[in-house]
Formats: sequence, C-alpha cells, structure tokens
Amino acid sequence: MPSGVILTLGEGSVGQLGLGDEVMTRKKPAVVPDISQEEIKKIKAGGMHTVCLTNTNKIYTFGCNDEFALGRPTDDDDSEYSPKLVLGPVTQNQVVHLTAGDSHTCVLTETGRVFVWGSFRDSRGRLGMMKPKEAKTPTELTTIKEPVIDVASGNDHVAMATASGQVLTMGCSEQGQIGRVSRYFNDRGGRRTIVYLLVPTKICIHKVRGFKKPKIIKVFCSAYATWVVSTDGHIFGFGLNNYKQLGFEDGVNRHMPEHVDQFSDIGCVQIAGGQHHTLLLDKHGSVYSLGRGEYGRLGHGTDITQADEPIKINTLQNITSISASSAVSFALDKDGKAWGWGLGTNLQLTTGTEDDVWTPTQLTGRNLETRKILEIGSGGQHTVILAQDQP
Amino acid sequence: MSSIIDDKGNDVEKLKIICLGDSAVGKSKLVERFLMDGYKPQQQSTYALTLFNYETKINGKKISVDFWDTAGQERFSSMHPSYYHQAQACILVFDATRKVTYKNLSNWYKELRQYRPDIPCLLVANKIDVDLSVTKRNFAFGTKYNLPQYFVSAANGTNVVKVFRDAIKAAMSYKQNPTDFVDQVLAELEHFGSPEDDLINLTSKNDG
Repeated sequence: MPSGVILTLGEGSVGQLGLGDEVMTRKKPAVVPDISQEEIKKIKAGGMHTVCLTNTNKIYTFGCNDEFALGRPTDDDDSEYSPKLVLGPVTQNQVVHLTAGDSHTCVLTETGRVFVWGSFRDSRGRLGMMKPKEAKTPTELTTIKEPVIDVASGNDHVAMATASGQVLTMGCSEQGQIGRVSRYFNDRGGRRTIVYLLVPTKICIHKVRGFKKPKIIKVFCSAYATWVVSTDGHIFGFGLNNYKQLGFEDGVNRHMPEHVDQFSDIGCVQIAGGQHHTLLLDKHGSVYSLGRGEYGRLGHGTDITQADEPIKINTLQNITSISASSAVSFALDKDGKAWGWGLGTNLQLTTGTEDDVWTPTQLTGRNLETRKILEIGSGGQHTVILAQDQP
Repeated sequence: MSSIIDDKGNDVEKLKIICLGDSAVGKSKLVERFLMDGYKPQQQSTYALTLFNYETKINGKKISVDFWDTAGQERFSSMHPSYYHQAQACILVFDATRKVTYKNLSNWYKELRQYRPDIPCLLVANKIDVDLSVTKRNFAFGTKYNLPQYFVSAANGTNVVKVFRDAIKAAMSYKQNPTDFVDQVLAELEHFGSPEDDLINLTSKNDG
C-alpha cells in the first residue's frame, strides 16, 4: 500500500495540526515533524482531532481530547498538540480503515472487528459511547456477531455494513441519522433509554420494487446523514435534509432509510458531505454537489447558492476520491492533484486568505510541489493531507 | 424595535440581544442565571426560540431588553434569518471544557456577520467552574476577530452579571450609533409616524 508523510493546515487552536502548542494557525500545508519519518498509509480528520495509521500498524492521534477522541491519556497538557501513540489490544490487529467524528474515532480491522473510543454528543451534551459515558481507550464492539466490512462516521454517529449485507448504526438520532428511531423517540431514545441509541443495532431497509432484499456493501456519512449502497447499486439515505442535501427535494428529514432516486441514477461510487451539503463521485470520475451553497461549498460559482438536486461540477475530471466537512469540499484526481472549495474562514483551502472559494481551486504550497497527494482529510477547522514524495 | 411609552408615560428604550452557539453549551442557563429572580420567559418553543424580557436603567433611562435564546433550533446548525433581525448585540457562547463546541464558532460568527455586519459580539467561555485551568488557555478565536472575551460559569455565577451588563451597554451604544444600513433606515423611519407604521414599512420593504 502506498505511504507518505502527513501535512496539516488551517486553524489548530486545540492541537489538531500536530505542530506543537506554538502553532495555532497554518495557511499552507506543513509536514507534521514528529512523525515525518513514519510511513503513513491512512489519515482521517475528525471535527477537532486527527488520526493516522502507519505501515507498521501504529495509530497516532492529536487534537482535542476533552471527550477522549484521542484514545490515549493526555494528562500532560501539551500532549494534545503533538502526535502520540494509541496503545492497547487494538494495535495487535491489522487495521484497514479509520473513521472519525466530532468527538469519537473508530477503526476497522482486517478480520472485521471494530474498535471505538471517545463519545457521541447530542443537543444535551455528552451522549456516551456504548454506555452513557465516554470510552477513554479503544474498546471493541463485541455485540456484533459477524465481521464488519465497512464503517463510516458522521459528526456524532457511526454506520457499519456487515458481511451478510446488514447495516448497524449507533449514536445521536436527533436528525434521523441512525435510521432506526422514529422522530417521536429520538430525544435520547424516548422511553427506550439512551442505550437503545448507543448499542450497534440493525436498521430495516425495504426492498426496491422488482429487486431482491437489498444487500448493503458500502456506507457513507456526512455530518448529520447516512447513505448505504446495495449490491444492485441502489442508494438509501436517512438524516438531515433541511437544505435538501440528503437527496429529497421536499426538504424533510428522514428518520428511516428511503431510496434516493437522484443518487442511484448517478451511480455514486463515493458520497461525502458537510453540515448542509453533499458531494457525489460517479464511476467516470465526475463530481456532483447539492444542498446549501452559501460560502461556495457547492463549487458552482457565486450564482448557485442552493441546489435541490445534484449538479455536475464541470471543471473536475478524473477524480478518484472526495471529502467534505462543515462548509468545505475537496476532490483528488488520479495524478495526485487536489482541489478545494468553500468556506475560507478557517484557512483550510491553501489559498492563504480567509476569502471563500466558489469554484474548485487547486491545493498548493511549497511542501506539495514535489509530492503526490494520496488522501485528504477534511476536519471541522483544519485539513489533513497524506502525500508521497515523487522520485 | 423603537422606543416605546410605558403605562406610566415614561420613554422606554427597547433592545434585542441574541445568544448564539452550539447546543448544550449552557446558553439558556446563562440567561436564567442572570435573570435569576423573577425572569419572564415569554414564548416557549413554539417559534423555535425563547424570549426573556429584562428591564433596567442606564443613566436614569428605562431600558427593556429582550434576550433571545435558540430553544434547540441550532441543532440544525443554522438559524432562521429573523433570529438575527434587528439585534443590537450578540453573546456567542462555547463550552470551555468541551472544546468541540469551539469548532462551529467560526460558522456562527460568519452567519451572524452575514445578517448583522457591525453589531457588538461578546465571546463567552462557559463552565469554567468545571476546570478553572481553562482560563489560562488562550482561545485564538476571540483574538482573531477582536472580540471581548469572558470566562464565566452559569453554575456558580462567575462573571455572568458582567457579561450581560456589558452586552446591554454595547447594544445601547450600537443603537445610538448604528453603522448598519438597515438600522440607519429604521432610525430615520422612527422620526415618522408610530411603531405600527414602521412595521408596515418593513413588511412592504420585505415583500419587495
């Protein structure tokens, strides 16, 4: 698997840049010095923290640890500002996938086991992780009786697909994002108590007319929404839809999975999203966006401030992956070049100014000139880049 | 939002101060703490906001302040434009012990400035009673936008009165010297006709 160095930029007041406690802001990508000798193969940006995985299966974390999203003790105040190792049983497993939300982190192992740490939050504050309290160190989801094949994290929820094609969800249900709690019970599970939200539980997906019962193979999350993809290429969505970002033009949230015609028609291979917008990647390498357009996050220029259905971004071609968070968006192409657009306030887009960016603009910086970008992590106020030295 | 005449015939200055910030940072608790005795919530969640009225005097002038609190609308990470309409000051709150609530400050601030480019904004780090050491931390957001910053505790009352007194004074001075175009128009309208006429003017303006 290709590996490289990790670079960060944007706002870093709680240590999410990993550049020490002196650097609070970074306009251009900077190599994280403490782990510049490591061969890093995967990265993920949470809301206020960063996670990375090395070729030798070491997991480093840095950033906000108020709710234990780092999975390691940070008694020494400065240890939030620099990469440090996560320890424990999780490291004895070959990790294949990382996900991160606002205050939690989740990893998937080669054998389909899932470890989580941190906490979910809802409108009342701390919700907990599996129990109504935080998980301070990596903790295995032992109630799942079969291997997990895919995991995704929203701000405060997690969705998983299992080997048999089921979907399990856990976390905050206030916007419908766990797809199994009706709106009347979503206030901390109503009479069913918090544990009902926190334990990974199967969701029920109705079949599409003329097809067999859907077998789910991929899951995607935006901040407050979830989409799952079946072997037939059908896409089902649930969660926040106040700017029609879920794919339904009525603007009504979905608390249970519903087939998203707009997305299935495009044939998405990847879905990413922020608070109020969604990006879709099709198999030809084209990117579509929909939802709220303010501050430029849709990438269609200043004329389009709301898209009720997916609109193709014509300037992007040969895209291999997309990412988004809050009000920013990113796309990466087959040559390792990347584009960003959206809210400029947090300096996440390498432009060096706080101006909003209304059309996809290539990510630049001295530290990117000789490197090929492998992956981009879009955080709440920061951006994380995995890049490989070019010979 | 002009001045009104109370039942004793005194001129009363009306002010609107809004609270902003993520869910569960203690916005309502702050307002309730300040108003501790005899506060009057006027509307419950029906309009997705809670309104607290507070009467006071500054330099002998009677003032009636409406504090607007979000009643959960913020969980969708966006407020209805009417929430910002004609506000004269903003109290922007985060939880100093749960810094993930600091993440969205820039989004809230951006939205505030979209509707209210120039009103005074006070930044409040709440819950310092939980961990007093947070007061030693420098939160870059306030410095970056040059916002007055307060370390407060709604639980034990530290600095709560100070924040609200400062917010009222800031709102008052903004009202007397508005720099926002809409405010200037409204200030001019106040010289003509009654508050009802203002409303009609406003409505027709919005329709256009």
